[in-house]
This record gives sequence, structure tokens and C-alpha cells, in this order.
Amino acid sequence: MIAPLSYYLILSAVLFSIGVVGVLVRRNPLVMFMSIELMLNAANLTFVAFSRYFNTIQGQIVVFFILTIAAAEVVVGLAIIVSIFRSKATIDVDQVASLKG
Amino acid sequence: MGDSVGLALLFPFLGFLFNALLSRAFPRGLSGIVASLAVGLSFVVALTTFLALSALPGSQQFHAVTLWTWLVAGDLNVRIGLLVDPLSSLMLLVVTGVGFLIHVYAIASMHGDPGERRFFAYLNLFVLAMLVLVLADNFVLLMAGWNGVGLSSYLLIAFWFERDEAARAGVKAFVVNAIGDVGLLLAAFLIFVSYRTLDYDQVFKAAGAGGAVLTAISLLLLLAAVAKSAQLPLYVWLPDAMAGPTPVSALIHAATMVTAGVYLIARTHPIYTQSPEALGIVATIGALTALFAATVGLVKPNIKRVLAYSTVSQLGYMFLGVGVGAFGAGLFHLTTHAFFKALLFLAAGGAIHALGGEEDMRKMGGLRARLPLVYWTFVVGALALAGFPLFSGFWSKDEIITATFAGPRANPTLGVVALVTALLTAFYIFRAVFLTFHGKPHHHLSLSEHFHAPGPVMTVPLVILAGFAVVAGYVQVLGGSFGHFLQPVFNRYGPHEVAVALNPGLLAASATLSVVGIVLAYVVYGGDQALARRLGYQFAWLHQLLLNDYYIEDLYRLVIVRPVLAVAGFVGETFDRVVVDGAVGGVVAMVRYSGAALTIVQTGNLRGYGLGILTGAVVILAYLSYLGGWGG
Repeated sequence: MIAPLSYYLILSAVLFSIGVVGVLVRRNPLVMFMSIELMLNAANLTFVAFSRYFNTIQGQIVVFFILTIAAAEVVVGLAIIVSIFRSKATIDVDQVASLKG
Repeated sequence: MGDSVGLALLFPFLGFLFNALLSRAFPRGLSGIVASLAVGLSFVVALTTFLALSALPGSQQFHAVTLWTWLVAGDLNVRIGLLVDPLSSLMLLVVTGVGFLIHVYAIASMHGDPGERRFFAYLNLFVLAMLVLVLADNFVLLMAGWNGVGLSSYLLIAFWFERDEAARAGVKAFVVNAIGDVGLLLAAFLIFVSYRTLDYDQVFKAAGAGGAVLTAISLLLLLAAVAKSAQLPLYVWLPDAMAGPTPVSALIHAATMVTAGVYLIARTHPIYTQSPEALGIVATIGALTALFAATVGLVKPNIKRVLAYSTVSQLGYMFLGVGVGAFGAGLFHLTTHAFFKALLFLAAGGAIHALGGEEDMRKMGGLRARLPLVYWTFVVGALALAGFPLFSGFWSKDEIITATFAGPRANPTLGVVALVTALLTAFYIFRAVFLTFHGKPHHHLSLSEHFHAPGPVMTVPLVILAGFAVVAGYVQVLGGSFGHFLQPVFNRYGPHEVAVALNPGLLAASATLSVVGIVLAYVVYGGDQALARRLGYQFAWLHQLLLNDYYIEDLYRLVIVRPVLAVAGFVGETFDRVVVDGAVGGVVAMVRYSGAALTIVQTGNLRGYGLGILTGAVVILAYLSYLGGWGG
């Protein structure tokens, strides 16, 4: 038997919320990245679930785009973290506030 | 024939380009020679055109030459088109002929002026604009020439711009002429709206039926003509235009510029003849201006100003002539006036030049002995202006007076005004003769060796002009060939011109008035001027009234100039500082303060931003779900 759509959506919402909380409460940017990945994959799950539910292919295609973008984003993000660590010797996001107006 | 007439425009244009752009590479004296040569070549073209035209029968005397198409937009098709017909070829001849003599005279009189090259560039531009004006075969090109004349007259009047008086006079001429330009522009709009064309030929053919539109067009054209030809109430710029060099005064007064208004009315006569009201206004303005300017000329102390008012007055005669339907007579007077007024100005310039720039007649006196040639040529010009029998002005003025009394649109009241003006004219011009050349020398230079007697470059044009001032009238009198030559133009769109035979009674009357005027001038100013002083004392109020132009200038200053300046001052100082600067400064302050206020939000704290995004997303989602429910 197939699980109903709402199960997937609830799981997705839970994953997304965990991601949000992770971004907001953690100071380690690596963990924050993982939380962002969690949110993205929660969205992916929603797409796939709806795609299956409506019997269309579009949602699954969008997932491929999101995966690609997530990979690119992580590359850029990690590069930024490395260069911040080199110049400031810390990666605590609360210590890095040089854009304060 | 006709194709070569474009050359008449080309030569002054090349002269202008040379003097404006290249002449610095050459000796300074060359610019005057090149400028004179350019106008001289134009004169040759004008002469050949004139001769070729007069050899043709009347019906073939109209040649349209299209140089190129200027612009096409819908119904509007504007060509650079020239119209060669007796009227334009006559104007061409007058402008280039008199203009050439004035250019030659200017070589000597402007010699050594630091702006000599600039002067001759402007002078060529002036002639070019005037030729475009008279040769145009549509209203747009006419306007190009019309405004070109306005521009170059401004440049020339304000030629000595470092003098406050000259700069002001230039601006005044430009502003007053701009009033007329508005009239011409509106007339052109109205013509286009009514007839869907701006070509003379098509407009004049379509203007057969009378109506309110034609009267409106005529009155707007009249506004333009009044401003350009310095008629009441827009005459004020012309006397001030004396601030320019003497050749400029001669050019503006005699050959170009002021004749444009008379030309415009003569050219658009098919429109005017459909509107008797407009023609009546033209005649009335002309007669009133003639009388007004003649009375003011009686008392002015400055010799160039006397001549300026005499120009205004004589233009009044021309307006009177065309206003009573005697277009040929008006243009005849225009032609003779071009000769004798140029002569008077250049001769007066000779006296002024000799006295090192003195223009006040009260300080001149007794120049007859030192400047015999200037004296005699000035007297010839004065006799022609006064309408002394057998001089050119006599014939042309009488033709106008005759038409005013006996023409198809006769108006005896205005005729009487014209006769009175003839008396005044004779009086004021011989007042100038006696004050300037007779009596005792008053000027410290008149006996010293610093006295600049004019050389042949100045005197030869004087002699030539004097010759024309004597004989120009006989072209018409012997066989009437002048009116005959113009006849085809004025009868092309219907019989508009009616020849009126000279009336012996009127001839005798105006001859008598002219002689009486001269004798009176001799009685008052010929001797020790005790009588002149006594009259001035007894009629002090009248003297003051005339000396101040009937206070017209003061009225304008009070009613127009002061309020305009006050408004401009308010806008320039208070409004600009408070409202405009306030608005600009307000925008700057708003950006600065709002920026400072918003920097508080920018903490640099990444998790704070994240919280902000989350809050925003929650709020938006909540709002959307409130609007449409969740999932419909």
C-alpha cells in the first residue's frame, strides 16, 4: 500500500523546521550549511511527493535543478568559510559581523 | 533663367563662412573686401535676373526654383524653394545694391575696429537672411529668413556689446521682434490649418473667399510686419538700434530688416485684399506712425535718432500706401527710401566719423566748410526725404498721398495726416541740416587737425547713392515703368492693383508743404537759434512730451518691463531659492536621514538576518492564508 500524500508533506515540514531551527541556533557555519541542505531536501521531498500524486514529471525535474544548485551553493559557501577562517582564525558566525552598518 | 538666382544666396553665405571661420589666417583688411565682393557678386546676379525678367512678358515672369526638399510630414511639404518674380527681383536688387554700397562704406568706417572680421561676418549673414526672406516661395522659408534677420540684427546692434547701451539695445530689438515672430508663427499655423499648405502660390489661390479666418491671418501677419517695420506700437526698438555702428543703422533702415514688413504685406496682398478691415488697420497704423514719428523727430538732439524716427515715419508712409491698396506705390517709396535713407545715414556717419564719434547735433555745427561733399550729399538726401519737387522722394511720396485721396480704398482723413507729416518731415530733416552743417562750429575737433575727413572709400558710395536719390523717381514718372513692372505680381490672383494717375493739385500741395517746411526750418534753426530756444522755452511741456516719445517708453516700462522684471526677480531669487532649492535639498536630506535610520537594521549578524527572513516568510504566508484560505 502507498502512504498518503499528507505523510510526505508532514515529514517534509518537520525536516524543514529542523533545518530552520538549525540555521537559527547553531553558530558553526558547517552545521548551518547542513541545516540549509535539510531545508532544500525537505522542499525536494515535497516536489517529488506532489509529482507522484499528480502523476506528472515536472516536480522531479525541478528536484534535479535544486540538487545542482545546492551543490554549487555548497562549493561557494565552503570557499567563503575557508577564506574567512584564513583571515580571522575563527568561523563563529557571531564573531563575523564586519558588514555591520 | 531663374536657376542662377540661388547664386545670389550662395555668395553672401560663402562670404559669411570665410569671415566667420577662415579670415583669421588672413590680414584683417581682407574681410571687408571679401564681404563686399560677396554682396557685389550677389548684386550682379540680381541685376542679370532683373534684366532677364523684365525682357519677358508679364505672364511668364514667375519662376519657382526648388533647390531641395526640406522636410515632409503628412500634408506638410516644405521645400527650399525660391520664387523669382518682379517683386522678389526688385527686393533682391535693392537689398544687394544698397547693401553693396554700405559694405564698401563699412570697409573704411570700421577700419581698425578690433571686431572687424566679426562685423563683416554678421553683415554677410544679415544680407543672406534678408535674401532668403525675399526669395522664399513658402511661409516656412520666409520664417527662416525672417528670424535670421532678427538674429543678425541683434548681433549687429549689440556689436559693441561691451557698451551697456548697445547690449541693451540689441536685447530690446530681439525681444520686440520676437513679439512679431509669434504673430508670423501663429499666422503660418492658421494658414496651414485652413489650407493644408504653406506654399505662397497654393495659399493665394485658395484665399479667394473672404471670411473671419482671412482677417485673423491678416492681423497676425500685420503683427509680424509691425514689429519688423517698427510701426506703432512696436516701434521702440528702432531708435535704440542706433547703438550699433553707422553702417548697421544704414543697412537696417534702408535696405534690409525694416522693409521686410512692407514686403510681407505686399507679398501676401491676395490675403489682405480679401479683408478690407485688416487693410484699413494697416493704413491707419501707417498714417499714425508717420505723424507720431515725425513729431518726435522734431526735437531729438541726436542726429542718428532723428534719422531713426524719420525711418519709422517713412515706413508709416509705406504702410499707408499698401494699406490703401497701392502696393506698387508702397514699394516704390520703399525703393527710393532705400537710396536716400542709406545716403543720409552714411553722410551723417561721415560727419560723426569726422568728429570722432560725436552724435549730438547741438555740439556739431558749421561742418559745411570742412566736409563739403558730405554736406552736399546729405542735403540731396534731405531734399529727397523732404519730398522737395523733382527729387525721388517727391514722386514716391506723392503716389502714396494720391492713392490715399483718390485710390479705390481712399481715406481722405489719413491723406490729410500724410500731408501734415510731409510738412513736418521737411522741417525736421532740415533742422538736422542746419544744426549739423550750418552755423558756428561747436565741436573742439571741428577746427583741429584730428578732424577725420572721410576718404574715397566712404565718399564714392555717398555720391552713387546721391545720384540714385535724385533720379530714382524718374523710373516711375517717365512712362510709369516701375508700377508697370510690378503690375503682374499684384494682378496675378485677381485685379488687386489699381493705377492712380498723379494729381496735379496734390503734387502742388505737397511740393508747397515741403518748401514751407524747409523755409520754416531755416527761420528757426538757420540763424543764431534764438527763436528755437524761445519756442522750446514757451512750449516746454510740448518739448518734453515729444522728447520723451509721448512717454510711450515710460508707459511700457511701467506696464510691461517692470512687472516682467519683478516676476523674473521673484522667480529667480525667492522661488528658486525656496521652492526649487528646497525640493532638491529636501530629497538629499531625506535620503541621508532615512539611510542613517536604516543602518540600525544592518547588524552584520547572520543569524539575525535568518530570523528576519523567517519572520517575513511566516507573516507573508499567514497573510496569504488569511486572504485565500489554505489550498482553496
